[in-house]
Amino acid sequence: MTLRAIGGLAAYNILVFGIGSGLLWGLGGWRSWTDLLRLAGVAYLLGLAAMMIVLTLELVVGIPVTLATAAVSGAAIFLAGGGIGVLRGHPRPTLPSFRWRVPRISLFVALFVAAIVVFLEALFRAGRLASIGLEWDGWAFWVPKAKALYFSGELDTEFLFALPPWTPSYPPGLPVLHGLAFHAMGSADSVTLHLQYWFYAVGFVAAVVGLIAPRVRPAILFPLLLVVLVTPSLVYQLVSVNADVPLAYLVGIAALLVVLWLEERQEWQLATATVLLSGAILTKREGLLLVACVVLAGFAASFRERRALWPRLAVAAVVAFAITLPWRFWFTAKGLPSDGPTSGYLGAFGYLERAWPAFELVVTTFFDRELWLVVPILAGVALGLAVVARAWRLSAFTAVFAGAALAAATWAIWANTALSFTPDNADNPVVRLLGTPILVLALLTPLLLERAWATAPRVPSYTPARWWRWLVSRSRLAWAIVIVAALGYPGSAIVGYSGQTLPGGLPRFPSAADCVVPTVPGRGVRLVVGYAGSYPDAQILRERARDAGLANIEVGRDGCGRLRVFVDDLTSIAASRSRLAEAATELEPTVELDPGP
Amino acid sequence: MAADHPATEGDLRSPSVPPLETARLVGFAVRAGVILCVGAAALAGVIKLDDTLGVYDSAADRNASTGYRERAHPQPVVAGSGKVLEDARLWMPEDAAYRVVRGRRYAETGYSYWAQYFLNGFLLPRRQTTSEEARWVFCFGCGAATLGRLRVFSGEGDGLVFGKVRS
Repeated sequence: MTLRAIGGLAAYNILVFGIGSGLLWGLGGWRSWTDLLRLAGVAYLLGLAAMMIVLTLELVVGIPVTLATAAVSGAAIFLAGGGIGVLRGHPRPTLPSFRWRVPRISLFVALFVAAIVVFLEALFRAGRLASIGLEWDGWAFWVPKAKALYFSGELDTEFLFALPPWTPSYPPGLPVLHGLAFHAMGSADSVTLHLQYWFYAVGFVAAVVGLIAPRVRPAILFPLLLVVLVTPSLVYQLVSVNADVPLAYLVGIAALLVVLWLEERQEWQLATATVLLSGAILTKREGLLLVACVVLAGFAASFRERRALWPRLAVAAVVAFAITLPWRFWFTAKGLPSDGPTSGYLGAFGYLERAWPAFELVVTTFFDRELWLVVPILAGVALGLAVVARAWRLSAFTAVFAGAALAAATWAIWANTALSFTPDNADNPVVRLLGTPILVLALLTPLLLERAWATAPRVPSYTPARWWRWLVSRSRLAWAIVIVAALGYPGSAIVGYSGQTLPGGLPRFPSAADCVVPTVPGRGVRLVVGYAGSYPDAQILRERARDAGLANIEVGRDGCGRLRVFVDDLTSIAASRSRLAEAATELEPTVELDPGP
Repeated sequence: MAADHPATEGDLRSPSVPPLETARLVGFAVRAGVILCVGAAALAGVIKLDDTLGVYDSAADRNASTGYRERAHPQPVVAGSGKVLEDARLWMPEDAAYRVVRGRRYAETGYSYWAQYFLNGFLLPRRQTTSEEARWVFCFGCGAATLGRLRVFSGEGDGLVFGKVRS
């Protein structure tokens, strides 16, 4: 909750970005520094996935996850990337020969870029002091696993068996990252951990823009990106300390890279996707299912070039899965329960009566506009337009992915026989299950629309209306809108103007000192001997105060997680002076407000 | 690294597709469809952004006004008022191990099994164990016989008690 914790978290994420950048350079993702700037989000997500993979393997072989091992692992990944790059003869990164200029954007696009920036600022504010109180999965097992790794560097089986019975074998990828985040923050601060999800969101948005912006005109990309970010289902999950949203980010960007690889055949795209897919499997158990959907869609979309592409895609899929196998061996060897559905992987056919209701629930939830606004409908229309425009490969990928993801979600609900058929999150995870496929489709939608637009014959030229020209003509000045919005939102939060008419003010950083209450003239006071972090320490403090001559010493919780050792019911500061004099020789007591009974 | 260009596959202008007028009509319809999609996304995004900022602003305000207990504990249905849990955290040393015992009157306490899971994470690095050698004990709905063996440090009055087995 402190500025130091936030600073530590920022430094940690910059290091992860650095690790990913080294690896991405080795894979051939960037050659110039401007390339890296454009692919910064991809590099960051690659860094996260690579760290997940390496640290999970270390856990499995018994190397504790500590700050030292993480630093060595990160350096090793970075150097491995550099080594691969050198071996492959990659030239040293350069600045491009042309002079870099701020790109021109239209007023229309600037408005949406500004909206996305403000959205991210608001997300930061909402996450900074968020509580895990309402995030059941968060406090029941995601955060405990991260805390266990922070405190001991390992996941012992006794601890895992004390978790909810369906969760011990959940993959440890995210807890590993969060254990390191706690180290970076300086404590197991589950409040500030919400901001780690803000970094994930920023990385994801940067990755989407970096990958799609060079391929899709901004007037298509940015409105579609904004509408995805503000879908109600995502809005409430973005900074929840669960694994659903990070899983969606990894699968989404991996799917995007696979589809770009099918179109462009740049090897770094498939290699990066492989690492991200592996990271997705290590993030959440349904990651495996969603990775299978991406791979299946890749096979279907490359059917015509199957001789050339299928072997490479198959290798990528096998590698992505094989990397995660040691974890599966480990939890099986430790006797932890399977991460499969309650009816077993093939047992769903014994419950055929559940198949149709499960499918119905999945389809109705998929098209629920209260959850996803127009996102799935737009994906469907975009798919139709791309088919009309004969963009077969992209259309096939999208259609097969959507079909496979719906089938996979249906199977997951069908095969988990304890689940009732309701979209209520407390009883059925269907909304969270569909979040990732919806996000993937949302990322494919701009590509589909661009393809449809680009392949359609030009309509006869006409002179656009003046207001329209004003809206779409490009200028560097339009960035002023983005800058004003970026400064205006935090400014409005400080001065107190917002749609909610909130009071405003500078950011607060809650601490234990908040429970030190200054005196108020005319009100009762108490003499506080000191604060302690445990009852035994408080007892020692009380004994010392008693030895110093104080009597009637009490111990009570201060409301900020500490114990207050104090003498109560003093009527005034004057009355406390004599008591102060008695104690001051041994202790450093203070006078505070007595709030009364 | 070179960015790709819009695909060339299925170009409606190619001679293998329907006659020019039809192609032009289809092309017009496709572009109109794209504009409609972008327009719908833009409209939905802008309308919903206002709601979203409201949700986030409210959350930020609410979060800033809450105290330690609200930030550290889940709802009372899981962990009661938090008094016993806080006392336990402040009594047990960090290397302690503790047991969770469910007595005969467990069902009457109103606590769900989630309380045990919350304790597991909340009290880390203290270890939850099933070993009877652990002397620190949380008792949910325990009877007098069990409680008699404990030095009780904290109780909620609703069936949850924290204590230590007398030596």
